Amino acid sequence: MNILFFTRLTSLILAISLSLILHLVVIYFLFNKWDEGIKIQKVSPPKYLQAKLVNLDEKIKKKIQPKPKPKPKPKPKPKPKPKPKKNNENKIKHKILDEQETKSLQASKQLELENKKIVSSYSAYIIERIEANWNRPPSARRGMESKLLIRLVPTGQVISVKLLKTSGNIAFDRSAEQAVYKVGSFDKLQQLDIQTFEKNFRKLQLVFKPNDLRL
Amino acid sequence: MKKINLIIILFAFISLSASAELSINITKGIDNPTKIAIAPLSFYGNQLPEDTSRIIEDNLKRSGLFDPISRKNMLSFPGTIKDIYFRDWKILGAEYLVIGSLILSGDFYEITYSLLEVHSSRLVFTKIAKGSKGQLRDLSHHISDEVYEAITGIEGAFSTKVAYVTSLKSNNKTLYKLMVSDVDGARERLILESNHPIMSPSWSPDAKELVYVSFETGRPAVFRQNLANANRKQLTNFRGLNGAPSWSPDGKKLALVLSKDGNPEIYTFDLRKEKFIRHTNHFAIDTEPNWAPDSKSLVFTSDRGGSPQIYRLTLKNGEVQRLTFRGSYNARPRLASNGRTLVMIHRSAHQFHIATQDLVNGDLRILSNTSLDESPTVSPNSAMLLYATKINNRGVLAAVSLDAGVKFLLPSKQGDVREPAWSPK
Repeated sequence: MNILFFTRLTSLILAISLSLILHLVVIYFLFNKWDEGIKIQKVSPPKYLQAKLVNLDEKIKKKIQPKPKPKPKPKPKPKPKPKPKKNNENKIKHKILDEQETKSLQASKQLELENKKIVSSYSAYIIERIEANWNRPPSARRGMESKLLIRLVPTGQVISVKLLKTSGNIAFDRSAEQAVYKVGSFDKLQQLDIQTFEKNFRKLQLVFKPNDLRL
Repeated sequence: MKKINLIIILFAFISLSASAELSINITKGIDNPTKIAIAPLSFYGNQLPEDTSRIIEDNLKRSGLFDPISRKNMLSFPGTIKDIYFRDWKILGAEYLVIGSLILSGDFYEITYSLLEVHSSRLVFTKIAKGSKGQLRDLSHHISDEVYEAITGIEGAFSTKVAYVTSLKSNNKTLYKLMVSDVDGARERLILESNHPIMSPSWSPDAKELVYVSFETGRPAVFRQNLANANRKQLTNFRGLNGAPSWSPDGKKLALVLSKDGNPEIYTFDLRKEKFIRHTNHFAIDTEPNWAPDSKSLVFTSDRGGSPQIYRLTLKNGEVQRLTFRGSYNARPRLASNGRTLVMIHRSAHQFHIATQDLVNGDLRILSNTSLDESPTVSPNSAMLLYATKINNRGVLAAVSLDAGVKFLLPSKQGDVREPAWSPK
């Protein structure tokens, strides 16, 4: 009995110490990483410009290629760089930056516009799909309004539907939820690049507000 | 300090993600009939006297708002929720599914039934309905009501009844019958049979009695009859016209037309005090009174303006206000229980149609495409109306939804059918 317990303890000590060490290592890395992250946050101004600079390059690529990867890269890469640049080549870079700043501003504006177009065209697609599946109950009246929050995954599939604001008519709310469930999957959203999807279509607010009812 | 920073960043993220959602407005829909599957009731034992699920299916279909899925296409007949494979029902295109199981406990049927959303695989409700052995049809209508209300947001009216008058000619004699049936036409019951005309049945608000006009005494007289024990009582015996009784929604009075003072005028009759009060005094004809839901005013037809039009009479002060202005003939008013929709006979292009007028915005809509339509009566949930019309020179009942989306005929077994009156809830 005693021997058995002892052997078990020794083996346990080994395991415990090992896990302790592992935990410590993990915690150490965890905090170190966070430290760095926060430091990066502090040197924010140059990061701002730098990010747009890279965007311009990407943008040119974008015109030739479809848009699968463009955005995800720029953010992680530029962040660590600014530190050394700021220290060493600050003055030389400054002039170039000034020139490119205006350019990048224009470019970003254009990009934004293009993004808006994409978002609105895919929104129109979503509207069309839902309207084709929305079966209003006869108790629906003009002026009723239900608000839903839906969550999508990049395949376009609906993974959750939540009622944010009731119209006051349960049947009406239910018909709105049913319309979304009936669509089930907004397949065309698969064509979107992941950045645009994440930014605009991961979570969606749908406002159901009929204006074509007689009463 | 670090921790606080972290928390701040975390909060910033949360608030950012909460406000960043794209908002999309949906303003149109299609409004097709809802696809619904009513699985046959599961039970052990002998064949049931009624096919409950079939009755529910027919009820929902007749409302025009549902498109039931044919039983022969169903892949399974689940009796309980755990037996449901939602995918099977999705394939059939069903949006909703009704399942139920029946047990016989003593002399009572107990039906446990559930309504489910197919696409989201969610349960809307599970309820229990109990009834005696003779009430299987009532239970079916009750379940129909519950399902209808959950999906449409409107109270169901499948458990209500209809009174009507049939007439059958044989050997130069006409036989008149006052009948009551379920709204689906089943369980027809004879209330009164006579060789003299029967007219204008009107329900008491508790749906236990009828008032009607019978010519059996040689001249029109208003009678009141209890449906359960057939007790009847003659209420009027005046010279001239005694007609168009209408029971007030609060149950206290009748409105009717009497010409005992020379000219058809609107009266009310206090049922407790048995006293008549005259409300109109005009040389024109005032007739066909019908109560507003609050029992405080009446609508009636009068030709005091030169052509038959509909007026409203406020009982408290006797004030009369004209309601209809379009067309040269508007008559036989009935106010829906919503107090807003006026149903009437409207003449346009020399044909008599059923029309509704919205008393708030004034919209006039012609609902029927038959001609010679008469006697509209509105369902207690203000969703449908019944009226009498002529098809191939035969009097039949027809139904139309108040949005004119659904129309159907109720075929009569024999003879002419006229003067339908939809019972209250």
